[in-house]
Amino acid sequence: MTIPDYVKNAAQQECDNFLAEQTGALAAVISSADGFDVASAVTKSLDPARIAAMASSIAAIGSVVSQETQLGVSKSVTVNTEDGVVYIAYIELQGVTYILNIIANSSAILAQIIYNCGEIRKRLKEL
Amino acid sequence: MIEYKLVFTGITGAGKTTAISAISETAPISTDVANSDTGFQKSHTTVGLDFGQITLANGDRLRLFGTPGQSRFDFMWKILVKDAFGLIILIDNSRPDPLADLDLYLKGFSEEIYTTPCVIGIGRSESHPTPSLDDFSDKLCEYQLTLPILPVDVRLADDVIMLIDVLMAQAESDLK
Amino acid sequence: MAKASKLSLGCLGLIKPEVDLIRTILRMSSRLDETWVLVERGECDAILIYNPDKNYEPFQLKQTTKLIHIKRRGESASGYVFFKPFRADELIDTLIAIASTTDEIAPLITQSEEPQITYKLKKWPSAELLQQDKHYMLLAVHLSRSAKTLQDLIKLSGRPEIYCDHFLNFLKSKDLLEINFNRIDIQHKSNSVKEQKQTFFSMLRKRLGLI
Repeated sequence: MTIPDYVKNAAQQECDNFLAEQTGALAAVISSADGFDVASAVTKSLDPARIAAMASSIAAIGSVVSQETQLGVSKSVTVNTEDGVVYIAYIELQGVTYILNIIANSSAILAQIIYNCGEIRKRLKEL
Repeated sequence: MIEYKLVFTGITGAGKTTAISAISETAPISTDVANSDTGFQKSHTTVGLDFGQITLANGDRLRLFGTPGQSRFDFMWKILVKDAFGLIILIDNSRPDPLADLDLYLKGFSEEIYTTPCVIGIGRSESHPTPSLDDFSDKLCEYQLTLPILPVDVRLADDVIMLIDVLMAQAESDLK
Repeated sequence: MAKASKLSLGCLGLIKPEVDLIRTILRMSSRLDETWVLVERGECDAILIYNPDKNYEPFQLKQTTKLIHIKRRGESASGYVFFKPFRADELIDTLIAIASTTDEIAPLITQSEEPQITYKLKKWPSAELLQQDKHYMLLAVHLSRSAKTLQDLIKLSGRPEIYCDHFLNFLKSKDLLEINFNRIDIQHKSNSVKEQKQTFFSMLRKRLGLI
């Protein structure tokens, strides 16, 4: 399904804002469920296309785990690392499932990331 | 209990998920999502992995893994092929350039392809006879590889079992 | 090894007029130069045969005996073939090819007990070739993995020596075989790993209905 330009632009704006405002943010990537980046804001040498593909794999595996364990629908996957965190959450654009992938260093607070991603989800869902 | 791992890879639509479904003793786990890539005429595509298994009489298990087909998921290829006893590359001969498709996986598994038992399964070769199996053999020569190349229909359990039998023969040959 | 002055050809299952024709070709061909002679029994270097059978009486197959299958034109074929309707030049070409391989292969086969000759596939054989016999694919698999001696091949495949030898000669005639005269040292896996894998494969074959 093709996303209308205004939705894409809004998604891009959310990524840009997140990167600018979230302490410790290194990347914000919104991708399709099959791993294509739709909107992104990244720092350093991070590759949005690569991040999008990895995020979709991780999200899909998270879904399978939640199904197998009968714990309901997967909402997010968190990868805690030595120097930061990767947070992958499901969002919706125009009724279609997409994936929001956040990469942040250790100065970020996970709870804040989760909260802000929730707000992004709400705003994009209303478009 | 001993567990061995077998990996199915190959181009999207070649039948990796189908092959595992044909022989897995349980309904395979799959990570299929809606496909937005117009280069492939499929409604869904694997983005994580497929998983099935076969349990033997003594409790040993063969775990069957399917990789995503697209090269943007090649990080999953590396993860899944680690410690696999065999690799099956499935090709769809109805595609525009099956030899180029094979190139992708020979390059993508360049570390494993020379040591891990590997067999190439060519699907839809009856309806699409070119490139021929000999053309694939010539392609492998470019990589200095001599791998078994077999026409298969992965919807048929017998054909998938034949691929696994050839892999076992290769592994047994390596044991000598 | 010096080439034998005469090579012997047997005919099995041919009718008398066909045998007479073959005898005439052998005698009259300047290209063959009387290197081939027709024999009616005993050991021979090649046999013209309609249907390969385990019983080759009154002939006795040597390790180096080549089978020349007689087939109808248009039938799929691989290996040494003589098509009907017969053409003299085709038989002559085949006998010349066999004579040349006999010189090269025979010494290799007689040295099969010595470990220094190994064989490896250069290229996966054609589907047509492999369909010739249900065991050919298994042999090709073993030869594709790493260099093998004839004895290795016999042990791995469970096929008799003459069978494996015939296949090796056949591959060589198609230039599909790499032959090495130096023993290639192969790292042997520990027995426990080998046994574990062999047991697993045996059980997996049972589970998959292969045995």
